[in-house]
Amino acid sequence: MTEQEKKMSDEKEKPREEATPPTVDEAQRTDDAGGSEIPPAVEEPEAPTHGLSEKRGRLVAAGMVATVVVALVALAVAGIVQLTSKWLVVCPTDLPVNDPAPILWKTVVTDDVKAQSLGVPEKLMDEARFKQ
Amino acid sequence: MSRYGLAIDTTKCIGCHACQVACQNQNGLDVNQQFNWILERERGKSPSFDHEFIPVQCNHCESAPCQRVCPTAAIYTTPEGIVSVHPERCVGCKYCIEACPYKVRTVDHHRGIVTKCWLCIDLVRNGGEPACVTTCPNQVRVFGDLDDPQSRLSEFIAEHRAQPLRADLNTRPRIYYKRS
Amino acid sequence: MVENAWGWLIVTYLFLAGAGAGAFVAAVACDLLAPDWSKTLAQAGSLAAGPLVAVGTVCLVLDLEAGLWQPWRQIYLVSNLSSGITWGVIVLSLFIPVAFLYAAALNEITAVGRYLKKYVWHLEVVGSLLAVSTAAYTGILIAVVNGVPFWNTPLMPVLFMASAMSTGLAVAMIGAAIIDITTIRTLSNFALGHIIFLAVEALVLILFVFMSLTRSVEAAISANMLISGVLSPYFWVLVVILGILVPFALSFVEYYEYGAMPKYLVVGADLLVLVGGMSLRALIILSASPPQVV
Repeated sequence: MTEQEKKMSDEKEKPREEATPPTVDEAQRTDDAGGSEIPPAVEEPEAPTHGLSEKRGRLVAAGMVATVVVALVALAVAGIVQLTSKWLVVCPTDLPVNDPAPILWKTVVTDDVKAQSLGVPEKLMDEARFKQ
Repeated sequence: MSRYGLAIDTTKCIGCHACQVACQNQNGLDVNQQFNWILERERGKSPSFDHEFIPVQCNHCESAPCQRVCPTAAIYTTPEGIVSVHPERCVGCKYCIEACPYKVRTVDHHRGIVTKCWLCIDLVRNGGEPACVTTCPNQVRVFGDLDDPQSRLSEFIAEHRAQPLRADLNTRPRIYYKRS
Repeated sequence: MVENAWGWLIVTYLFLAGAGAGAFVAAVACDLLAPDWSKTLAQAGSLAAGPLVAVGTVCLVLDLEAGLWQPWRQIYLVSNLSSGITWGVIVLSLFIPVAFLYAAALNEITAVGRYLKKYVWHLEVVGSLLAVSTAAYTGILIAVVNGVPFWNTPLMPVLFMASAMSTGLAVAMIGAAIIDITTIRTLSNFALGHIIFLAVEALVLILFVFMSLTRSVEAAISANMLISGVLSPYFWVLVVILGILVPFALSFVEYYEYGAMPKYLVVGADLLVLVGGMSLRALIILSASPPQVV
């Protein structure tokens, strides 16, 4: 396991021209200074597939990580759309906050009879505050 | 066998929502669940304008798209032509909601299924009429047998040339509207 | 009126299943057409396809109501061959195992994988058919109903398949970069693949939006929501600029400056394609509007 880890860290440090992993693996093994005890003669029968199966765990993990990355992208987009959609809704700015209805109702049911003009009294019109 | 349908006279509908409440009452629905909706349409400008209330509910289409797309075959048609759902088969995939062109199906979150108006068929089979029809104060709704040329429904449709909503969508709905 | 019952779980499923199907096809294409220098991409695509579609299907099941609380109801899902969902259940039930078996066979993982190594070609043929079906059936499913006029066009499955192939290639490239970051140089060859897929996706999207503007009133309402309405910031920024134009430009540069682009830009371009794919699916589902009935 430590050998495998060492090879992985070696691969990261030395960028290679060839991109295929088996080639990189074999080149690494022959380049290993003192880590590997396997003589080069035994390397040949170890076809590229052996290098593949050694990295099995890493491959499966790569597939899982890719899935997690894609799921995170989906989550991020959903989150962005949900959170920013609030800013897209334009709130109306002409809603009166102080409701004149109670005051108007009192003038309707009052006992003293007074001549009133139709419509909302001037006082109330000025007092109306609007929701920003 | 009877083929039940409805006719609605929107020239008389006052938008009181009594039919909606009666339906909620009859079916034990929550306050925010409903099987029928009262749509409003305003035309023209003051002083020549017209405000119309149009009650909309499941049309019990003869060629129901919901029935065609239900994967569990939970949607079936009774012998009287009512489009109904097997509550134990529905999985709540909501494909029928997307397929319905009239958008009259709702999710019942208590049972996890999709339900809709079923024309109170249990009341009808006992000789009554759907709750919305009985309740309407203005007698906007007419219920009856489309296959019987002497029923009140057939006479109403013929006399007022009532048309279904969006007949061009080819679902062959069975609710007819008199709108003018 | 319940206008739209499908939410983020369905959108996520559409995205993950499309990307997984596309990754499978990318892996097969690499293994058949260029097995020597694109091995890492084939590996990555094959390893990501199964998990992606599986996670997507979990999202799908989570969106069910009664079908989730009483899972045995799901056995009924194959009852109606006129329903796109029934076909989808059949296709997914076949594709997910095949995708996992292909990953095992191509990469010789576990004894089963080593045994199936000689059947890789068979798995590729069957799996590709299932992958294309997976990418297409969701588009077909929403296109065959007139309940949402915006979706009711033959261009819908075409758009979904183009998006699936594009995001699938992006996933495979990200996976390849994870397996071996030094393969970035070889991934530059796939810049051409990105250019082609993104161009096709852009073309189909343009066609789809333009046709929607004249097809019907409701389709035009939805299309206008995307172009100039409430959803337009998401459409133009996430789908068009970040999802298509920027990766297209980056891929162009990548293709002509073989291997000279910084690694993070190459991977970044792939991530942007994924963002664009997810946003596109979200906007299509969220902008659905019903026919005007009154």
